[in-house]
Amino acid sequence: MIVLAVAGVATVLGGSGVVAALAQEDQMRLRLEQLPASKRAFQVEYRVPAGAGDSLQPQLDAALSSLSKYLEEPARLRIWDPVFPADERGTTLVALDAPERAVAVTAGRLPRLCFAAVCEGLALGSSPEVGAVVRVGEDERITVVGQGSLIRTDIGRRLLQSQSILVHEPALPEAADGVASTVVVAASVDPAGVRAHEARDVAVTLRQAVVRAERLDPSVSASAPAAELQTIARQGAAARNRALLVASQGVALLLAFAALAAVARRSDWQQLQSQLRTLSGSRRQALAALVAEIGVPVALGTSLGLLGVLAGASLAARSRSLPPSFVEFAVPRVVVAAIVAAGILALGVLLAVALSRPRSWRGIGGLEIAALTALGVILWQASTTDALDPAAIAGESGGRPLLLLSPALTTFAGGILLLRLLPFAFRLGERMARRSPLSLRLALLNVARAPTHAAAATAFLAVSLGGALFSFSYRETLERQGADAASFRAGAPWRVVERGASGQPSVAPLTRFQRITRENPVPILRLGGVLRGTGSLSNSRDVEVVALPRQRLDDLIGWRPEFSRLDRDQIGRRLATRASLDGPRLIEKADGIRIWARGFTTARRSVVVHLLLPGQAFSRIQLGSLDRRWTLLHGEIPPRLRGARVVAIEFTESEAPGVSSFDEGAIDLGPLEQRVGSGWSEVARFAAWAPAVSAGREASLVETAPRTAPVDDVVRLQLNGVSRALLAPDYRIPDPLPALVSPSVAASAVDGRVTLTILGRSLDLRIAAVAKLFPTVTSSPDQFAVLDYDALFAALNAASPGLVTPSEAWFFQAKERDFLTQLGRPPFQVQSVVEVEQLRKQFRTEPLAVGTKTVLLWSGVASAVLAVLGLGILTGASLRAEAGVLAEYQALGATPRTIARSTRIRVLVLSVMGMAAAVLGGAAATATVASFVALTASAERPLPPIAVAVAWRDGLVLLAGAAGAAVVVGGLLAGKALRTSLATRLRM
Amino acid sequence: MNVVVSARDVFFLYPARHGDVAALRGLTLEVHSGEAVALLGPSGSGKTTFLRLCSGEMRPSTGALSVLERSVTASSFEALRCRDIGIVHQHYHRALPPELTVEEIVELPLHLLGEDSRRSSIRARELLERAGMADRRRAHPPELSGGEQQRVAVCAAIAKRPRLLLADEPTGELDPEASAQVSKLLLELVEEVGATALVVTHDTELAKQTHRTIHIRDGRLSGEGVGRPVLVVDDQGWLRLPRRLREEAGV
Repeated sequence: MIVLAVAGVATVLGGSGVVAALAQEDQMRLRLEQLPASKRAFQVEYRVPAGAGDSLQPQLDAALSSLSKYLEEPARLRIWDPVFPADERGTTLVALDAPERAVAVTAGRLPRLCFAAVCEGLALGSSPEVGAVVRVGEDERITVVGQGSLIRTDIGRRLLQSQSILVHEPALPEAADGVASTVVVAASVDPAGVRAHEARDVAVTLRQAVVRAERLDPSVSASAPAAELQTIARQGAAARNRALLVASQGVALLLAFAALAAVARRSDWQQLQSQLRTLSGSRRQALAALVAEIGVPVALGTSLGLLGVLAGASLAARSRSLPPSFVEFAVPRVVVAAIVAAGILALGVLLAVALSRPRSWRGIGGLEIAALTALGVILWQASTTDALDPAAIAGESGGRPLLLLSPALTTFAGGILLLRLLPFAFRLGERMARRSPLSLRLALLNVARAPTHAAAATAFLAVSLGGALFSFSYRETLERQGADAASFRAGAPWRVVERGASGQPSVAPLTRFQRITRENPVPILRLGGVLRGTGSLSNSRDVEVVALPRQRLDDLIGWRPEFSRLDRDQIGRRLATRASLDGPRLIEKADGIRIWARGFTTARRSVVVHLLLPGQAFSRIQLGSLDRRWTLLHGEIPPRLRGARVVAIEFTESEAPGVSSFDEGAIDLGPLEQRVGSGWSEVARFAAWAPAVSAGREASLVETAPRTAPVDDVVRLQLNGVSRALLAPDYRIPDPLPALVSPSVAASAVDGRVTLTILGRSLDLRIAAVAKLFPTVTSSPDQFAVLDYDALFAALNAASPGLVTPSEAWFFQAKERDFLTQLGRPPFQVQSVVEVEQLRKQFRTEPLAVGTKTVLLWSGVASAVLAVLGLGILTGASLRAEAGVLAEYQALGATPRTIARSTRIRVLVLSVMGMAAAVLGGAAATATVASFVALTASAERPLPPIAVAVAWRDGLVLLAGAAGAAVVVGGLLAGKALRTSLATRLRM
Repeated sequence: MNVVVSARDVFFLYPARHGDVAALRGLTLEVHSGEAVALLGPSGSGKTTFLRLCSGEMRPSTGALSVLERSVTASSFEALRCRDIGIVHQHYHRALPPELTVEEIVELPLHLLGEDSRRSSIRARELLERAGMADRRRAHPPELSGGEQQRVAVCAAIAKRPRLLLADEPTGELDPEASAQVSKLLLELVEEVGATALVVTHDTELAKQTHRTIHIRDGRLSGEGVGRPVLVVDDQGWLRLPRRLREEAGV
């Protein structure tokens, strides 16, 4: 047992390191594979003057070749400045090292050589077409023989012009000699080439390569993913430290188990001492014999465990084709030293148990002092450390060793406390059971008379089962954290972001989604805002602004009640406004609109009608220019705009549309009418509409009835020098807008308001509610403002229709299998799709997370097995010690059946007490450690914070298993105790 | 004649939950070289405690106790104990390592003293022959009867030719026949090696075979003599002198 326990100590310590190291290797590869090629590229960019050769290439080739172990095949791109004309209208010539590998040809073929003054080229884009001849110099032409695009789109993208032509470098047109060029060399870090155990060294090597490359020439700028590698390495180290933390608890348990086995053998050892002394052995010789008796199994166990761990690491390295240095990484010297130290500690503990003497009358012995010291260390650690911070644990200095030992120390202190308290409970139980049936009385009497073994068995059962429950619950907590983090990051089961025409995210029109799903997407706005500081501009902070329909707050996933004092219903009510961008709607069949208007404006202006389409997209219809005379302006309504809402009517300057000047003129307008068939009906009259405020000026609107007006209900818009002449319905936009904000934003409020600048517009927000976190806000989780979608949509678009369109589409219902595939096809231009199930799977299967959870699972299982073994060993030892007493009971008339029953009852009573203490201890340990160790399964800062989850199912199975085992152990031991003849037992 | 065991006002207190308990209360006695002395007395009178003090297992609370002219509290006593004191316990089944053979057990004290294997083996065989255990030398203690085990224990205690043999009720767990065998063997071997023997016993047959008996009651000397006590302390603590001494003293 001692050999097994000590070998177990070594295996747990070393094995957890090996598991963590393997997980770290997998994690490194996965993370590198997940990084876009541009993010993990070692990239060098430099200028080559006109007419000069690329003199740096040989040196860079040498540098890259020295890094070839870690890098993929480099891609080299040379881009000449535009030629003919030498400005942005000109053609950019591009040359590649290996075009056949770097270009995806979509039409035609790759270029070959030049013939006389005509060279071949490939258009990098859709123009010029194949067959076109492009002039690149006075006498030089390039015949376009193909079209295609660069496979590595990240390289040199910003340098390519609208017309870029790939040429064969040896056959470069002479025109290229006259212009300078930029060379970009990029080689991505090979995910299979960088091992986790050498990541830090690789990061340093890459950083040195960057510095050396930049020293070559002032025009060289270089970059490398050194920081990314460091981050991944740090996360791995943090996960490894946590594995050690879990292992330290297992080590404590195994040491306790060894001590337990020692308690069972203590009388044998003490007898050995006595025998040796009787047979003329000196004290030293007796002690030496005891040290040998205990030391040999300890040394054997330590050696076996260490060899097993080293062999395991070596096998793992071989099976995964890792270099031999992996073994040193997985089982570093410090772990070997820890294993040896644990062996020495085990020897010390066992010797202490073997040589232990009765405690003093005050009940304070060595164990009590050690337990008090352990508790003191934990309290000191808790008071000086807020949490096991990822930055601290993953920092260069590593985790705090004492904190890593906390679970072990807690286990030890808890075990000793139980060991000392249980005898009182036993005595109390014995007194209470004096009138009980004989078997129960005998059981409790024996337990109370010799409480050492019983207390040790119960305490060990409690500690080991508690350890198992802790492991299972902590595992469950990490599992739940993964699911919670996925929900928090997603916000909805599906979240789709598309690239809009302007490059900004836009999913409008939302009606497109009806082609691939029956569910109407929920429109979301996600914008960047700047919170004006309370003191000065320098205090401004970036704030993530999210707007979602307040009615859908309840559907949001990833929300936790503890985020806010208010529930989601209350928040929804507080965010409610009547604001909505809902102007008059055009009839479905309407195919034209018209308006009587005249203008007395400084600049010539056109009338533009802004429309909001059903899918939250905007469009506009030009109705013609204003004249000083009444003019009937009209426009056609294309079929796609039918049924749209009129959200504004604008009077833009005709000469330079989009450029406004301050105008003091006025515009007279009749009602807006729509044509259905051959008749006209009124769409809107403008008396109740409001002019937009711009640049601090406000136009005014008055009803008027000019004599010459061709229609009634004429209004006059007096521009009053506004920069933008726009008339819109009253959208009932409150000022300020109610918002749910983070505490840090709320802290900036003055009079309950904050001012945000969003897309250049100033927006006052009223703090309607405060929440610590909000799902989907992950980059700066403590800087956000959440508004009702309709309110923000109306507020931002009222004065500038089309300024914002929904940036994300959220879906809450299950989707068809090909939903993702469909999103990948036109008309969708998906930028990202967040699927909560996919995220959950990703968090669940991340190697570091899997490694951590594996260690926890095995730790739990091992603890449970040890619990049952310990119970059996100590009860067996106890029964052996009491064999004579039990025989005397039998001789006095107690039946063997009664004695057997009393043995079973004893085991059951001890088990129940142990299990009760285990449940309490396990729950306390889970709560403490989970809040102490603020790390996710993959060693990142948890978002949302870790919430303790109890592994009810596993826990109940464990307790039921332990109870069943106790019954079996009780039965077996009872049978064994009575198997020897009464006469023999009476002699013992 | 040399004094092998000399006790002067020896007290020994056992610590207990409700206060210390005195096992010896000023015991004074002497045992001379070559003597075989039986220490008699009722249970709890302090016999075994005195024997343990003599073997150096415990230290007297106060008083002077020297064994083989060396104080039991001296640091050098440990070496003396190993070399010159043999011990035989009542509970032979606990005293003999069950893993070793009879021969190995008898050889063990010699090995512990650094004796070479050949001589140890010869000595062990001699003793086992002497004890009538030659044919059982390969046996392990659990395979022997109680009398046989105790004979092995005696051989083991005598093997190193001790100057003092301390025996704590060596026949306490044996039937009369086995007791007689063990007593005979023990006293013969003691005589052969020229050792002094201090034997705690309730066995009057064994006591009769010794040179002298010492009676202890309540931790004090209560009688001394050959066969019958010559000095008696009565139940009230009065010293009752034998008539011969009274007449000699004119009392």
